[in-house]
Amino acid sequence: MELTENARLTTPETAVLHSLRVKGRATESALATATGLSEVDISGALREGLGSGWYTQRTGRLAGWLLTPSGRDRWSELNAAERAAIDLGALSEVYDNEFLALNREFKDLCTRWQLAADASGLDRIDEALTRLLALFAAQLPRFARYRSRFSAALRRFTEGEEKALLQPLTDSYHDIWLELHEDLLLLLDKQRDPDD
Amino acid sequence: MTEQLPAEPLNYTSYLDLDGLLDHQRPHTDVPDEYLFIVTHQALELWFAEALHEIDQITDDLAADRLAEAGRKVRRLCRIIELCDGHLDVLDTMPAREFAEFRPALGSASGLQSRQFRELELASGMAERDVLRIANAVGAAGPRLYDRTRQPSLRQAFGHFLARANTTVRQVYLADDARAEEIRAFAETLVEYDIAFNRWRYRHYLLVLHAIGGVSPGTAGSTGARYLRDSTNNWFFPEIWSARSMAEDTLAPTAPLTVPLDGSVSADRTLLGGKGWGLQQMHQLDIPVPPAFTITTRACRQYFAQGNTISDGLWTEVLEQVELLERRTGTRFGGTPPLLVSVRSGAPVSMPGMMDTLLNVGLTEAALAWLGTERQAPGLRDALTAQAGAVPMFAASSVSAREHALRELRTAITRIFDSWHSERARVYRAANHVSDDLGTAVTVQAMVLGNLDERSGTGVYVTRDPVTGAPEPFGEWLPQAQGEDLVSGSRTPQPLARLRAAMPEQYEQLVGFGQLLERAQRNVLEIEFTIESGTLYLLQVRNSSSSPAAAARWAVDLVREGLIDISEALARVPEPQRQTMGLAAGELTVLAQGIGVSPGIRAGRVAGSAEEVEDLVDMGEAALLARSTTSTHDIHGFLAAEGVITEHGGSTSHAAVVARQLGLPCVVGCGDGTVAKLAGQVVTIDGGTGRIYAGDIVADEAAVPESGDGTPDPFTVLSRWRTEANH
Repeated sequence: MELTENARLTTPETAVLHSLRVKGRATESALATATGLSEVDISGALREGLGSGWYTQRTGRLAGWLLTPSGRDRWSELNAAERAAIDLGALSEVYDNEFLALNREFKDLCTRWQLAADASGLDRIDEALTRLLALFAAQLPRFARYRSRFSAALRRFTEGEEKALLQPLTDSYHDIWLELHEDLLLLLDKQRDPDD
Repeated sequence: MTEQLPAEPLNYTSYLDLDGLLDHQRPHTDVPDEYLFIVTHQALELWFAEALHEIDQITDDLAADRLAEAGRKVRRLCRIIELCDGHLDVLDTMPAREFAEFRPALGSASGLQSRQFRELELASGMAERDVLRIANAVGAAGPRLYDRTRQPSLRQAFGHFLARANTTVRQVYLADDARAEEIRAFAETLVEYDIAFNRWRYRHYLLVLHAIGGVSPGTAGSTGARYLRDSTNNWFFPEIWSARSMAEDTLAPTAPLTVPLDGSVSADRTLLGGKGWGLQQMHQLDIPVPPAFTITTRACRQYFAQGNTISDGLWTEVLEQVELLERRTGTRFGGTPPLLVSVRSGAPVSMPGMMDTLLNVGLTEAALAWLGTERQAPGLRDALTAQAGAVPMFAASSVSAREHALRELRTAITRIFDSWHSERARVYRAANHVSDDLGTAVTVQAMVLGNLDERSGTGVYVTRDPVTGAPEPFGEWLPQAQGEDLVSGSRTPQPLARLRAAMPEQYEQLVGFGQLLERAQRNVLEIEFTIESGTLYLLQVRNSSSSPAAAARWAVDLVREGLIDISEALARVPEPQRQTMGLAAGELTVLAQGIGVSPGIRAGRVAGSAEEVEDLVDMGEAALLARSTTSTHDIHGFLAAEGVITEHGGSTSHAAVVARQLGLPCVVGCGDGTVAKLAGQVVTIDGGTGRIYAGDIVADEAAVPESGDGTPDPFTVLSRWRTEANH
């Protein structure tokens, strides 16, 4: 099958596929938040993918959608096409030389916040992150979406909602960070540092 | 095109589609009252639909500047919401027993899931984020709710109307022309609606308490009831409320600008702020506190109303209060013996971003010379230098020492007032629906000198042991020192028992006040105190922090002493976690050792993936998540697991961060092969020591710790209470 421009990770179908690959498992509303699509679009894309056997749904206390092995295969094709279309070397360099250092700083900040209620430096990290996201978004527009998600979490946090920094599965700043990191690892075909 | 005619002429039944309507009440059990339950909720949903229909028309009316028409419909909206109260009155006649009989048939259905109710909150003016958060949590979110977020709410439509009319809510409440009066009359109908809606929220809460049953006021168990109670803090039109209170304030400017905290006047918390109010309370219990006065929130509002200036009237009052302090302490502000004061902010609710405390105000070269020659006063020289930096424009030589001290005080008051409008405080207030108009109070308090002579000193007294929880006085004492010396650690403090030996009378006094305050505040307290020439003063009282073991023991002891009830005790100790001290480590097999990064001891079967954890939990078994390292794909497992183990990583790894956030025990860095080695086994992890033991040592009764004095272990008592509360 010929991979057209459209088949890259930009349509609702491919955006949902990719977001599930990054998140592992997600509810429809979490997918809507992550992709910026409406829940109606998400439902539509999931129904369509369900027909192709890409997705399965887990019910119970922590319900959500998952990729099937064939969904993963489909994602791998799209990922390969995406990798072929961009300057991987340049992005890989940004990741190695800048993102990893920022990642360490962010994790230190998280720990300091938990142990000493000190979140100073978050503004500076956020600024540095803005610059990195712009570099990635210049080649892959979907990375721009992270900027508005990070901003929303940061706003909640500065408005006094303490959980907006770290609480898992609430689109907290840390949640989004983990996702961005996973997204970059998949794109650049790198392994997570074992100490991460 | 053919004309379509109805098959038969419309009649009452067909027009209202009664056949359809009356076919929709289908009880799932044969409990008679289930029919009432269904009808009530369906009727409420119909009225919610009608209320939304009205709001749509009101926002249209406002957009077209049809104010009178809009007002008429808001009044109708009020009647509709009041009618909803009546529905609940009827449902409230249902015995709790009947509800309990058909409750299981409801499955997971809950009134909190009413999508139309959330839509009504949104349409009225509640913050989108707050509504969507709840809606997502209870599964009431959906396309219609999102569509609603794109339409103007009642609150926004009124805001747009005011903007077009080139006015603001506050102006509307201050001006007295005919147009302002007309808009004010409309705003008052919105206030009436806010009250009607809030009454409905409270009525709903009472219904859950009374008819639905299963909860009692103050129980921490039912999140539904607690949510309903807390939701009565939600208001749709905070700016109107705030404008009204401002307007009332200008009509009745009788509140004082300053209040002496000597027991001669009694003022309320909104006027005194938290700190001044706390000092007033201590005074009423006859607890000795250093003399003080408060500049009220009304003075703060006056300060802003007059273009950020302290009025002559206010300053005259401040001078009188300073003289009062001088008389009560026998000291002189800017003179000798010196009167030094602390200047503290105190908003009616505490908030970040506010200037907190300025110490040693009134410290001059002359005062320093007196203190420095007569006493040892380390640190004060630095304080004076720092203040010279903060108040640079007053060259000490050009004015008298008293004048200099007063200017310093004036600057301190101004800085605290100004910090009310700091960016951070503003953002905090906006996010938490705290009115910008409340203002902050300023409390000015004489500083007592713990370094004055050999019968002076300072210390911290905790009313019970914060490590073991034992009901014995605990604390530190530093003779001939100021509070800063204790905090800075420049000198090593002695145990509080030394005070008992050195000044038995003051010690007994201190312990007596501690017991009095414990009963008044129903909590274990940490009290900062200073003794100046044999006279005891209490400076600051707050709830004491504690080890988990002490928290559990206090909760149980306070219930026994009748200070709190069981539900309060359970709320204070949310999750009983046994401590390492009870574990007989010698008899246990340590399977692995890593770094303990999030404390707690839990047992479970080791699962190698998030999915496996969930499968185990779904089958009713406790599970521990073990991973080489963690990524996004593991986070679901954290939410279901009892604890987390990783092979790699340190105390700042994502696993550590997420586990700490969730309060899950976590051991990281156990080394390669740990997951494969432990998978499938039942083990116990200790997130404090980093040890992983074979078997479930938590369930082993022999490992349950006992208090030293032979009383039952407080964790066991709490867990029994918890079990009873859940039935």
